[in-house]
Amino acid sequence: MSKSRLLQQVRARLNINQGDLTRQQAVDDRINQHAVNTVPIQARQSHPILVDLFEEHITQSRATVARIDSIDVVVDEIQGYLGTSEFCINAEVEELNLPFSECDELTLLPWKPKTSMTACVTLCLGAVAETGSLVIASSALNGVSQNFLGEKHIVLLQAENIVGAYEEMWQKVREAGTMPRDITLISGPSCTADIEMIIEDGAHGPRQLHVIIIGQSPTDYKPLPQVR
Amino acid sequence: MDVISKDFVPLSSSALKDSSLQKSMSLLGEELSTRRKLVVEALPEFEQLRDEARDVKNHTLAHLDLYLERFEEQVKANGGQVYFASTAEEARQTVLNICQQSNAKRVTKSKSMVTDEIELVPCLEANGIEAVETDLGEYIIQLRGERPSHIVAPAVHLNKDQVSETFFKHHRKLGFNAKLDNRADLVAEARQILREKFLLADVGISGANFLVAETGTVVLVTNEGNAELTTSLPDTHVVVTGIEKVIPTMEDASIFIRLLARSAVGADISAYTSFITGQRREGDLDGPSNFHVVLLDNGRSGMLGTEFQDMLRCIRCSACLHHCPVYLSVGGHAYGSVYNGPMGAVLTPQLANLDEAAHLPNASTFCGKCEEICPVRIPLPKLMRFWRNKEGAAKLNSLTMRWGLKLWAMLNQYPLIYRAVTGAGVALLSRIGSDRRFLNSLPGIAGNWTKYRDFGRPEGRTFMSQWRERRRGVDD
Repeated sequence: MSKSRLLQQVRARLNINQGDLTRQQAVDDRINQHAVNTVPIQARQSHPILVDLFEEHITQSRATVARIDSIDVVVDEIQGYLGTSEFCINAEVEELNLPFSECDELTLLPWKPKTSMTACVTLCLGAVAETGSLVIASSALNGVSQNFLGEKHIVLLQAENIVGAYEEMWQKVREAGTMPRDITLISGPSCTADIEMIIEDGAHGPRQLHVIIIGQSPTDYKPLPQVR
Repeated sequence: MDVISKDFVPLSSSALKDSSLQKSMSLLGEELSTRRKLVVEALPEFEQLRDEARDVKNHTLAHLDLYLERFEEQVKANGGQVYFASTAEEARQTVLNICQQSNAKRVTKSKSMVTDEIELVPCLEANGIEAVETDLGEYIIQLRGERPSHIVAPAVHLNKDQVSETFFKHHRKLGFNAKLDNRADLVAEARQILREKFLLADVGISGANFLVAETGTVVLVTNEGNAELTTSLPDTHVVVTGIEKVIPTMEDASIFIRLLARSAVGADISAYTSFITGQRREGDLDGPSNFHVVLLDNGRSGMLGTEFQDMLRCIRCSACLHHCPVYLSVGGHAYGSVYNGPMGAVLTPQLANLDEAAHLPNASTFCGKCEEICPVRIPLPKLMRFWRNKEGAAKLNSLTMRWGLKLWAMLNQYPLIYRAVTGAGVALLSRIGSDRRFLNSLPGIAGNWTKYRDFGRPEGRTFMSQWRERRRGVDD
């Protein structure tokens, strides 16, 4: 069997004593403790600074950002960005019951699997400020392809769901239970530099990425402490 | 792995005369080293993260059997399958079987060096399965029937006009009749053609940048979004990667996310970083119903417990390529292997064999820049020296070189003879072209040096003789 042959070869090369139980203990400990390594200082700041940092990073990657105080004006913001356009939403946005029908310029189309779209509006789990990365997770309400098949992608982000470091996001995911099939960090529009090293947007995914940050920083946010 | 590294010398000679390649290479070197420097300076913790990355990899490699078992357990718990392949042939056969069992006619592939290593695409095509590379660079070279010339930017040896000609030649039959001279239009045309491929694919094949043992997660890093479409649209997803890619936890993965894009392309992060854990969950809107991971050995385990174990830390960022004066002079194709630059010079002799690839560890100026910038601190020059020793011990190098080295070693053992010989040489050289600072042609085997570069003319006396004289002056 390939597996036993391959692992046998690995063990022989590592010169392992079969009776050595400390190795298994070391592996179990490392995984169970999932200790945090060095977290950059820029990821450990007060929440309003992290929101600015998020915006700074993601706009450097050619995404656009709008900030609104409340979800009440989100349809206006979407319309302002899309102009007169058709668009799709994912089920998470559907649950927000936004008054799209009151907006004449926007035509809401039903989402069809494996179909390209003009624009798609989705929600995200949150965002990581240190590199300006939106965090999306697949679920019954959010298909990964809904985030990739639109020419334009608009993401609604609650300000309170912005964290400083990746590690804070992993902790949130752990607390929620099992890992979703797919978690993707989106840090800008789809791009390629494969022709003469010059960045061109719109390689395979959205040509444009627009982030709408909704609401305010929470008052009780605690950044990750430096452990090492 | 099919390598043509024996042709390194003639291939690099023609590369040096290829002006379009030279232009691409100097652009690559300047751009990426500048960009890397800027983002590294903006992250004060960078050096500490490099230490941690090295330590995580060392720990994982020392417990590799156990981490692989844990990873497999987790993938299975998420409904996926793991296959262990000792050889390239086993890996190809495994992927082919999966495709055939899913009645696949069309396969999309996102970028993966391991699939290039095992030559997977030709194997699928020989069995009547259309396999399309979806990374733009890989797509371009697939159309041209070329090998990647760089492990991250596979078409970096080509310019826009060459890409335009390639598209014109191959896309006409698909109804695209215009010859494009604008970069954005070229990207848009490829996007349109490949979008259709994504939507129709039966199987998606990806590599993996990292495997997380804790959760059975596969980490994929791209800018284009091709990996996300490859892994979320088809009904079957096959991951093909090397056994050394496993790391313990998501927290450990975070170190590498912080290092990878900064080292590779001088960006804080790439546009997309996906963490894929198994197959479609109940109720999920998309994602494959079948999830397979093929773990390849192909010579990797043979590096464990040897002086080459450090090389298994490599995360394929390519920083060593675009900081290497040799790679930047001759480009990737001269190496005759899918892995090129300093990392390829260490890896290729192991994955192919030393007899085929002995030239590569010699293709180094030993300037040490690769080790200086490697995010996981692989001592690449030291490892190349190990290969050189093995080459000498196996008598794979030429008789002239072996005798030359013996002579050199002997000279070094007898300081008096050494000083006499070098003193005579320096005196002789100083008399040639005494009115110039640099010599542009030298007789005999020394002519090999001046063929491509000038030789600084010695001033007439060796360091040792000048030193002695000054000492005498001081003593008086």
